Amino acid sequence: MNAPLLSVEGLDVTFPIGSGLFSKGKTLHAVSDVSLHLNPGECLGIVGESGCGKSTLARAILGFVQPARGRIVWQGRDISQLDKAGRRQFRKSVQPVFQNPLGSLNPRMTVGDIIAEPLETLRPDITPSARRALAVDWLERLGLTADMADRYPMEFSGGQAQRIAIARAMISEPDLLICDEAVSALDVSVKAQIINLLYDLQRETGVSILFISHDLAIVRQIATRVMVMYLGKLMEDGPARELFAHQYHPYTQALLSAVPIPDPVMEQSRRHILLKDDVPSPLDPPSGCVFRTRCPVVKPNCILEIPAITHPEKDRQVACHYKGVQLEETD
Amino acid sequence: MALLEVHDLAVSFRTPRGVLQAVKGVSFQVEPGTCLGIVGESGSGKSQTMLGMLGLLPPNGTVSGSALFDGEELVNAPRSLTDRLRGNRISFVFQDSITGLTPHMRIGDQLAEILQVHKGMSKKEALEISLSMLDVVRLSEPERRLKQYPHELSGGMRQRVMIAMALLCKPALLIADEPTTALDVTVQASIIRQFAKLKQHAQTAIILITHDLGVVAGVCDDVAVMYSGRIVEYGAAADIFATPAHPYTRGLLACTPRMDRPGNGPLPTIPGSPPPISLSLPGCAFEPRCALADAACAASQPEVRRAGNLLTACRKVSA
Repeated sequence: MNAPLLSVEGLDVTFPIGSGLFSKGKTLHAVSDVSLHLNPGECLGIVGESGCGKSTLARAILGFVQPARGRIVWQGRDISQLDKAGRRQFRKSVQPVFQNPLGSLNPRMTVGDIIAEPLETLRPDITPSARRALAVDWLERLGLTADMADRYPMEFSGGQAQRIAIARAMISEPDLLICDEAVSALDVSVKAQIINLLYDLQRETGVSILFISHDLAIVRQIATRVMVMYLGKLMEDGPARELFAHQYHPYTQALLSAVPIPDPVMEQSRRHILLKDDVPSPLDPPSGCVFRTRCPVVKPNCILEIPAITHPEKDRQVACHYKGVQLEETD
Repeated sequence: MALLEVHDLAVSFRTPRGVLQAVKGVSFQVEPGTCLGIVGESGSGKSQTMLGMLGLLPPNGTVSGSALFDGEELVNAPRSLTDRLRGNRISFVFQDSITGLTPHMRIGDQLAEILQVHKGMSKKEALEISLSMLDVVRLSEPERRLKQYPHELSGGMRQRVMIAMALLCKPALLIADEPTTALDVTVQASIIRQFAKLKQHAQTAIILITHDLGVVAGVCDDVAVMYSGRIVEYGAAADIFATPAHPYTRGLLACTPRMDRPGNGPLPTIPGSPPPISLSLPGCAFEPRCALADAACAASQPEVRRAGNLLTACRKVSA
């Protein structure tokens, strides 16, 4: 097997919250002890509900936040140890695509300039006119037209703006695209177009994708591996096909059963595993297993002991004391 | 007679750039104890239909047509009538729960106020009923919640409070506009379950506005698919999902990824994007994106006709 493109080892990201003159403040553990590997050409889906740390994980990989502990290793090198040239190479190779495309595009620049801009710093060897030509090239590759290069972001619909954001990310020929809820704000009919676009890009260019989403049906469509997070921790991960076929963790089972199926006969007759309440505040996570407050199979030792990550099968990871218990569907 | 009968409802807005037709004549009805799903993409007019019907449009909006609720006309109804109905016999749940709650009032006071105003109850009595209603919507620690302020609750809890508030007066009609869109999927599942129980046990009629076909499938008996201010397909949920006739409905269903099917390469797609509200076409609004369209489709509006068990506004659908 090839060396992984990206590996994250025991990553912790924390934020100090509310410390002031009269309060000591708290520490928010946004990501705790998360490890992952991403191989070239893979699409790793990271799923979980709000506050599970999936976006913070992405931001840590992009270098926007500093990890409190753990390592992020890019092509065999720890990114915190990179020299200036190494950092530049890393920034060129890892490109983000965010949820709100119109918010991430400069409203005062033409679309052509927006797409070409990363090349100014990442590829100083390319002349400005060649940059422009490349930008137009990418516009057309992503299903837009060359004449759109002279227009401004506000003239575009959400789907078109997301194509522009992807063109901007792809122009530096990255090895990894980090898509953080990249299709979540789009209309249903446009979502499918962007998913297909990412799928095609991946096949044509071999780019790896870290696909962060709360939408499991979409992740099922595109991901080759899936990682399930809850309150900053890894619950379960494995190859997509296997994870969607069989889940070891009660949370994964509940999460999958909660996703509605667009078929009234099936959806109204199937029973769901309903969880109590909401995800607890990440400021005050439960002791032991973080999922225990909502877990249908919770036992006393879940309160005391943090479950270790185990490997019930080759290539699968689960963090649960009672992994493999198949939940009865509850009403 | 249906509980709610809407006929040819239209909503428009005067803007500096001219008149925008947000809703271009929609008709539907809702029976007690059933749920109508109104599905559509952004700008299709699904929310404006409801706001227009209930007299909640901003000052530059106008509404025409008819909406009979239990025999009473809602469209452009006098304030005395809408005040009597809204929050009492007709209630709403919006997507954004934080703006629906008053930030400086305790949850208990906000809930009780509704019963005090509409039912003339004492504060004590009202709080008791509020407490039991929080239990109905499965909010944990209901006694404590009554004393809390909205900002102390999570989004899912606030939405449950909003639903409890909407149900306090046992409304005959509940209108929920994207009630679960901002929520996590595990919370969504339990709220949809509550809606299903509500229509079953309390005979409440529900109008559920959503873009999520999965949510529709979970609770709706009838579905109206909206596109660019019009209902393009209308009928029983079972028929809409099993034998959709309109090319837009078919496309929408095909391009929705499903959890019960493995991802198999590219999804079918509908080219282009939903039209902006400002765009007014002489013909079928879906024509620019439709694979079946011809010159006649672009020339004039398709008539609504029967296709199997569905009402469909498409020329290309054979009856």
